Amino acid sequence: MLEKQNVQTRGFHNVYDEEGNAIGFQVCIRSTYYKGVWLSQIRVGDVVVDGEHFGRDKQTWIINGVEYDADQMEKLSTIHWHILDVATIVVKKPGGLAQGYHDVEVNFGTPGSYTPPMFAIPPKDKSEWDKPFDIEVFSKLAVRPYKNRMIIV
Amino acid sequence: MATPAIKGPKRGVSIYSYSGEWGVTMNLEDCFKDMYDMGATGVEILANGHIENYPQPTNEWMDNWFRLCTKYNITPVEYGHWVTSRLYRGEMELNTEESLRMLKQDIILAHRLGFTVLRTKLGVIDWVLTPVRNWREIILGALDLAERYNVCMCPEIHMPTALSSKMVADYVEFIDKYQTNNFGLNIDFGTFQNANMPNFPGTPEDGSPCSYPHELRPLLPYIHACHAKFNNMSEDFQETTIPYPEIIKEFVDGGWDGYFLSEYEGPHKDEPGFVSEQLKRQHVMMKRILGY
Repeated sequence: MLEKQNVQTRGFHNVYDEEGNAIGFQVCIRSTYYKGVWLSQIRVGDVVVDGEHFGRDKQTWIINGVEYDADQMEKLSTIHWHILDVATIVVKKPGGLAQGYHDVEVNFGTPGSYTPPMFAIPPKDKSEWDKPFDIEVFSKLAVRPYKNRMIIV
Repeated sequence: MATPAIKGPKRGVSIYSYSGEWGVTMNLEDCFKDMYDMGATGVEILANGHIENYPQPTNEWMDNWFRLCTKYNITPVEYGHWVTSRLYRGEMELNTEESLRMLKQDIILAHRLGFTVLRTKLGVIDWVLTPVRNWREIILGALDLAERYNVCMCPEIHMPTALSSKMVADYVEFIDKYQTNNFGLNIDFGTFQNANMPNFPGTPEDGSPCSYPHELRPLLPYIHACHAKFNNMSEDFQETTIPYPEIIKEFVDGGWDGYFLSEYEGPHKDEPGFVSEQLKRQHVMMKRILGY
């Protein structure tokens, strides 16, 4: 079963190369949205650990056993991330994370298409409700932070 | 597959209601057990939420699906799916060809799973939920396939959309023009919501509903399934935000035949057992009003 919160404690550990050197860490997330999404709908933001930011160029995502970078995912509109599958985010960080507690924040999201932009506030003036949305607003508002405090052993 | 004998409104559940527990404390069989307890005989699933390995479920998953439907006497009623219009970064709408690719894939899968109604979510372009500009071309392009697979594509009329809106009039005009049984309406009862919930954000702010139950009557022939939306069932089996007795009366008096699929939209969805109890309260209410 999945853990209730978005950032899963299971799967959080350092990753190593063949010589046994820590080259980064991985963190698993699930979608707490009620439906899965096509990979091209996923907007990748920073992973933040104890205040240190790791941008999309430092991340790869493993979904259904296949590893992608953020740019690749944005082109894949026929591969589906199911809500019962955790995505493993592998983050490059030479030396990995130190033993002990870490505040981990994963930023990502998906712009919906059958609703107004999520988390947007409707215009006060209802006469503006039939004006087309600004597409830029969708991508900006889609990315949200999800947090957990977890241990590297 | 179970064949309900009743002609008239029948009780079913949308698995969406369980989304706060889905995969954490409940699986598909848990949902079906719950539905069996409340005497629900129909189900809506969300393709993108509830079919493992969607859009290519395994044979094992398919076998289990039919096993559960038989074991718990559940008819597959409505298959929720999306024509995802904002599929690519920076693009507001999706071209007709690619929209059709997605739609046709779902028509075939819905049919394989035994569904006859599709809750077809089209992308929207503004706050009143106006559908994408190419919706007519998309639906037209899929009508033949929908007829061959015996499914009806139904956009959902969801607040803030009113029954007396241009959108609904446009859909009805389209159905009349093409004389089709493969495109229709799903009405979400939230459009009749006439009170806010205590301590929970919702519409309408001013207490006036988007639609009134009497407006249903001329639309009944176009409606193939309903989302029995609810937000708050009291312990004495009353829905405090949506006028269920008046709504159900319209369907019964109009001789409508189909499924009310419960859709819980209130708070505490992720508290184990909370939604199950709300659903059971709602089904007590519907059973009392319907008399069966």
